[in-house]
Amino acid sequence: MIEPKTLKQIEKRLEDDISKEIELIKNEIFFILDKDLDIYFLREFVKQYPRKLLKEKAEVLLDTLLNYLMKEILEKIKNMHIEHQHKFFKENLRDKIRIEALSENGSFKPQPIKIKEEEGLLDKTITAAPGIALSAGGIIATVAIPETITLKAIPAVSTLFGPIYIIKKLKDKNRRLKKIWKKQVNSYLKLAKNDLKKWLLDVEANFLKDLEFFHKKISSSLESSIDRGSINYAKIKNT
Amino acid sequence: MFLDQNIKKPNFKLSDYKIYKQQIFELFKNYKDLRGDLNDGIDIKSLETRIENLKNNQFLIAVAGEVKAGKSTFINSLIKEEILPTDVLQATNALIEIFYSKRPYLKVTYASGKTELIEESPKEVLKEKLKEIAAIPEDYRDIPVNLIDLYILENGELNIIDNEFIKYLEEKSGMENLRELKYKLENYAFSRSRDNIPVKIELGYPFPWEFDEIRLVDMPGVNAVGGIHDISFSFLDKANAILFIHPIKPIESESFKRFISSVITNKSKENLFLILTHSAVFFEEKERLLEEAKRIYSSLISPDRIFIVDSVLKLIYEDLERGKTLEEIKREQRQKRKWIVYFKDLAEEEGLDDKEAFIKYSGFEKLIPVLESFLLSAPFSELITILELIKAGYKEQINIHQETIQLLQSQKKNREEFLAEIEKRQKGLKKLETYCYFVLEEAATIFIGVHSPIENSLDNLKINYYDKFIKSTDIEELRKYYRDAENDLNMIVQENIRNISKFFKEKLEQVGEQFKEEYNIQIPKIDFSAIEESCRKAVAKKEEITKEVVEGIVENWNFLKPWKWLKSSRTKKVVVGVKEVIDGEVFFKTLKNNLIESFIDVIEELRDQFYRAFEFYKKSIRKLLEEKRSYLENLKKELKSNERIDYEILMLEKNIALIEKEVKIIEGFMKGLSK
Repeated sequence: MIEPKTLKQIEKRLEDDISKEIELIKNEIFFILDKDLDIYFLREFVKQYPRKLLKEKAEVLLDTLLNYLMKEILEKIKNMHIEHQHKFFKENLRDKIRIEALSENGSFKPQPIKIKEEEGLLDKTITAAPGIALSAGGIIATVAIPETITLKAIPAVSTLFGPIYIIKKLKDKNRRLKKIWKKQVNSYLKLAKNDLKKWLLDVEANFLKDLEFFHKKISSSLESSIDRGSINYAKIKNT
Repeated sequence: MFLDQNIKKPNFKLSDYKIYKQQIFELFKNYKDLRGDLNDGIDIKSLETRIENLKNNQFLIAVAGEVKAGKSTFINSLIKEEILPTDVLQATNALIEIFYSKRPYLKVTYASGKTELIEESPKEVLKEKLKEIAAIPEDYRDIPVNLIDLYILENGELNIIDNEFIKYLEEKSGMENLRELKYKLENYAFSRSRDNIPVKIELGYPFPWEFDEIRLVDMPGVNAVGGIHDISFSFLDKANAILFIHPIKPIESESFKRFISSVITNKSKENLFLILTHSAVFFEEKERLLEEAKRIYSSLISPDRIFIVDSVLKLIYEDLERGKTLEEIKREQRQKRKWIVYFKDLAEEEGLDDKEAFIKYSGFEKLIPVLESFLLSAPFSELITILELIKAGYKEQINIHQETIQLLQSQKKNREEFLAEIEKRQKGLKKLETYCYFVLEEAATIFIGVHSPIENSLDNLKINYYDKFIKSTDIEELRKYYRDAENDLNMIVQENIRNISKFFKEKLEQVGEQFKEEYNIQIPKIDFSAIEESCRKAVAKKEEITKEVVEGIVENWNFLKPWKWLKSSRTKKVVVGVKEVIDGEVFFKTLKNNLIESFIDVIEELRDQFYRAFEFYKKSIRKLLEEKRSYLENLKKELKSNERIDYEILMLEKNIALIEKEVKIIEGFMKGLSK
């Protein structure tokens, strides 16, 4: 029901949308990274948020894809007999595909991001600052951070009474770290973009399959006004 | 309300509101009876909630201002009763809520949860108790007692007063040389505990006003730079009107500027009034000072929200109203003496009688009508909305009854014709269902996906507020921005929900006539306002601001968990107030980071809610069509005798007549309201 040419146009628009959304995620992450915020907070932010934002945007892009596909189909359906129109409406294709795509098995699952941790940073701070009034248990505790700890409490400790030279040293280090993280986020998003595209094309393929099934159903039960030759048996594109 | 006579008639009056409300309850009762089980498209549950809210409606007026700005005298003059102590320096961090109650009582809630209740006592006893709780004891006037109380409130106890703590008190209070008063600080601090620090004071009293839906709240004094504590902040956010009290001189107020720019949210700004007090002291130049205030604050507050008053003159007026003479007032209350002498002279010069003069000179006759009208504008429009909904429901009921009468008549005439008519309608319904499906799909392409208005707005808002959070310089600013962000988010979602309603309404109205003519089929009415309302409720969720704290080693059996022996692994999330502890900078940084994180979650949640709201619209439309379909099916199956048909037609016609009568009453009522 959707001509290959139209389908290609949809995929092109979708690709543009994906690129734009990935760019938005990147800008958001970089915006925060560029600010003079606590490095431990930023580390957590970079570790968690690209993935989180990707999941969020994937859902919005799924709706966008369904909008494109449905718009094309409805143009065709509008010219059909009212019985066919009604049958199509009963099929509830959008909801069906959406539920499948967001199910545990079908949903988009971005990979976790791996970033440079630079564990030495904390140790050096301690050895370079003997005699500094450290709050009890604060930084010392960070040396032996258990796996389960959430790092949110650490910024509170890390900003306590440090001599200026250490802060400067840390700032240089932070700048370097931020640069590295930006690069890592960039490559991560590049890979994620491909995964996202693949996932959306899978959804598209499922949609077309269901559409074909619907067409078969109505052609066998009622005389159809659909031009069978125009149906696109789209091959699943996984690239 | 606060004034009975001599005031100019406002657009909305509280006394009118009370009468209208009663009438609406009556109309709603009739509506429910006439509607019965019929689905007239009005969501009855949502309408009932609206009526319930109307019944329980309260108007919150927050009175804020610096300590000694004249807040208590101002409140006394509003409530026409000198019950709040005015000759003391207020020390409490607690809010004092004042409201009408037939039975006088004073309830004090302390930080530990302990409460104290004083009932059926004369005014003097209540006033004395209030003085005892709220005033700074004479001995401790030179130390920042409220800061010490606040510290104990937030940290449980204060065992040691060291130099660091004294430095903190000096910084926060602006008081100097506190080190020399260490013994006083210790005496005071060690006598305080959560058991004797009040957090809420409620005063119910049979004030001489007829309107019992107002709750006045005396806020703790804002500090010299306009800041307030967290309890006060949450309250300000809920208040229907905020009156900031400031002495007329000096006219420039740093605390007011700061209060507006960094403390209250943008949403609360819409409810703000600036009340300049002590006008009697500068009576000759008060008009000039008012003009100056309007000019100075023109960028912060609209000039028609600035008033100049004198509370003492209003209290003299209230005494006169009670039947006292000026001579008696002079004798009994010496502090009013000089004002009586001066203004009595002025009144004679201007040829005004005493009452007329004192209310005029007090400035309250200008303030009160505006305040009443402001408070009532939203409730009045709610009254109109309710009336419109009932009217729309009635109209639909008439349509449904007429449609049924038509079908019954055709059934009586010829059974076959009747079946043909039903089939025609069923066919029409099928077409309508399909049409609605197309409309829903069209709506999806507009309202969801990356090109939708909501997505664009959310992306812009996110970056804008990240920037504000990061650039904020203190906790108050951060707190304000966070609430602003929440309010803006809600506005975006609500605006989009409103647009969806508008879209569906217009689309369905477009085809309504066509379906009616072609298939004798009525487009089912959909109560979009109810859908909007429930969606609004779903999205208007407030997130708590949280922070990490370290649990004690004995807390939650931590001593049994070796991995919890390290302090760093004992963190838990707690809701924060504004915790102005000594290492404030560290706390501020942590809070800032956590805010950025929780803001991302809030946006995600809101987006999710919006998508669910969209689904809700889809379901509501489908459900109505489904109901229509089964109604036709049932009609087809039913075979009725002619007598039965005649009886049913008669009953329906009777109902229509009753409904038409009610509609006329509503229309008259609405006309009266919009005058």
